[in-house]
Amino acid sequence: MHIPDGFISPQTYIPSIAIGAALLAIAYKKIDLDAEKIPLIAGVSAISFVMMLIAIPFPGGTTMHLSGIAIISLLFGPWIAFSSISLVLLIQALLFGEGGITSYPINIIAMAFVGSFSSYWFYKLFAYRSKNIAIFMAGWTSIFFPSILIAIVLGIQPLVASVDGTPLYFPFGLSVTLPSVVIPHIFIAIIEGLVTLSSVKFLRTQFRSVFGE
Amino acid sequence: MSDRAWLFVYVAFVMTLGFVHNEYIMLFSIFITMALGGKARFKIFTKALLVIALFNLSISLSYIIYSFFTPVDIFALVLINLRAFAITLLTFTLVRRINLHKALEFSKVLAILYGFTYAQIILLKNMLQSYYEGLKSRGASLSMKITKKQLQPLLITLFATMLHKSSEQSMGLRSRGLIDD
Amino acid sequence: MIECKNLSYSYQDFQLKTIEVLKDISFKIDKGEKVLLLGINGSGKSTLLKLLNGLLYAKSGEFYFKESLVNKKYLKANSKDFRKSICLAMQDPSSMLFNPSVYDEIAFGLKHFGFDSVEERVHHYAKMFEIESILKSSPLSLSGGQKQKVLLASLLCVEPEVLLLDEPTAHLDPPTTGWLVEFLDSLDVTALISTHNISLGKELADRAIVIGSNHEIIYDASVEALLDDMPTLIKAQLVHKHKHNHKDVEHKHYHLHSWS
Repeated sequence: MHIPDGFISPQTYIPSIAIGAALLAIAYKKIDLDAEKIPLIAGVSAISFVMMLIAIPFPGGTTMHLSGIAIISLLFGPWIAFSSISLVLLIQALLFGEGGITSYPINIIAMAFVGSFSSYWFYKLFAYRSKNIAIFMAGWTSIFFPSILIAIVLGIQPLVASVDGTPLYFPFGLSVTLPSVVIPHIFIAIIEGLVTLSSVKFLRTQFRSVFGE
Repeated sequence: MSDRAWLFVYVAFVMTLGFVHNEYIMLFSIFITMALGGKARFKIFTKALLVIALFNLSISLSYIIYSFFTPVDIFALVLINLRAFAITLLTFTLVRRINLHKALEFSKVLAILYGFTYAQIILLKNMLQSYYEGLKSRGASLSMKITKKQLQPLLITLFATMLHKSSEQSMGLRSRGLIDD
Repeated sequence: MIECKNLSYSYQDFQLKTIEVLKDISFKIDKGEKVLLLGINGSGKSTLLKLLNGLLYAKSGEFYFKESLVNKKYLKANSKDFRKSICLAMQDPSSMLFNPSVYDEIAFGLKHFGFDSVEERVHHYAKMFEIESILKSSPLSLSGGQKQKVLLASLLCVEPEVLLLDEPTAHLDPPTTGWLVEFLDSLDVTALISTHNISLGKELADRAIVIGSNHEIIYDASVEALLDDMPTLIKAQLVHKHKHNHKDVEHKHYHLHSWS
């Protein structure tokens, strides 16, 4: 889901830098960094990074890479998840070219912020009904809502930055990006939901002292 | 020029490339970046090309197919692809040529976070690699994929290692006096 | 210099099971003494060193440093002085290295604790530890042995009164181990050095404290005498037995191997 460099206009990413910076500033205040939290965020970032490398095979010969955003958000809280995943996205962009530098603020708003908080809030929303449904929904929303935002951001590029109708950045409009990005992610999100459910339940029992509810 | 200065020059350059809509300027930027790449320039060039290949090719091919149904200027793809490549090449060249850890020192917290995260990524990535190799070695898996049954012990190892390492790093920060008790 | 009275420590593991790590630990270390801390893996050596570095707090018992009781209140009030006076080198040096270059790593302590002539001192210690050629390198990119040297340089440059070393030879090849033994021998500092390699121990210190598998001190006397005390060595699981040959005769008995 990472947007690479060159497809987002400055008219989009410059305001996004302001939004992203503001959110990171709020996170900095909320987390209250100390000797415990700094290495914890480093560790959570590292685990998010490595989880994104894990490839899980599915029927039909497909493989999916874990996102792990909901797992992190449910286990460590949404602000730590947001900060850690933002750090992971920066390292991925700088060292591995996964996601761009110009698209970094959008990637952190969509994946790190929307992903972390939608999973957390949907968990809270469904938790009174059934913990299993709540965890599944957390996983599902952590993929679904970011995909909508990314589809919108990509799809408005021809509107925001074109010369005589010729696109200067991402060339397809909303009528293309919304179905082509969001629909596949509805199904990917189901798998993420199932993996989140089994992983969170499992980790909560194995690490009771850390994640016990 | 210090690593921090190079980082700011890079940011300014990337922003400029975002505002410029000229293929020749993009090509010139690529040429300058390659010159700055030193002995590793061709390695960096290949890496940048491979990294953007999948996404850019799929967008470009889709747009070409789209052009059969809607009148569009497919030469727009030249600028879009050149810009994507120019920025990616610039990023990889920067990372290769400077000590990123030092460049981030304008914020002590960010520098420590970067250092600790990098160290943990190496540790956990090696564990994941070893796990795959262990599965292969014992005939449990033929590829770099992992089943749900295999995922659970892996998650225990990764989380236990990460939590222990974070605790050790926390003690390291306190022991060396960086953060007061 | 250091006195422990009936220190005990336990913690809850991830499954909320209480794990006993140290029981009733009492000993004194005088200024200038070099003491070996021996025990098998899991006996509590690393935990004891962390307790003595104020990174963990005992569940019961007391720890005195220069006759002051070290607890949370003491550390809050005397953090900087304490951290300068007692330095710990953890078993994994990378947990303690967080600066962008080796130079910065050594300079950090010097600047933090208010030393002057920082550059001169950095070069002095870099030369002492034979790491001048890697001053510009990132500590993250170094080998285990190099990281160990960088960490020791970073700690010793602040001239601590007490040095706590957790398995200092763990990442070292034989030549570097030899260099470390010589170096520690030349140091005029109070030191507590943990290891499970007892045959190396006699080169490092005169006195040994052994923590048994019951997490209590089972020996506290000279290293020389310990090497001849096979019952204690067996009890502490510091020796092993396996089939081997003396000339053409097959034997199996408890013994030590010499380090090299």
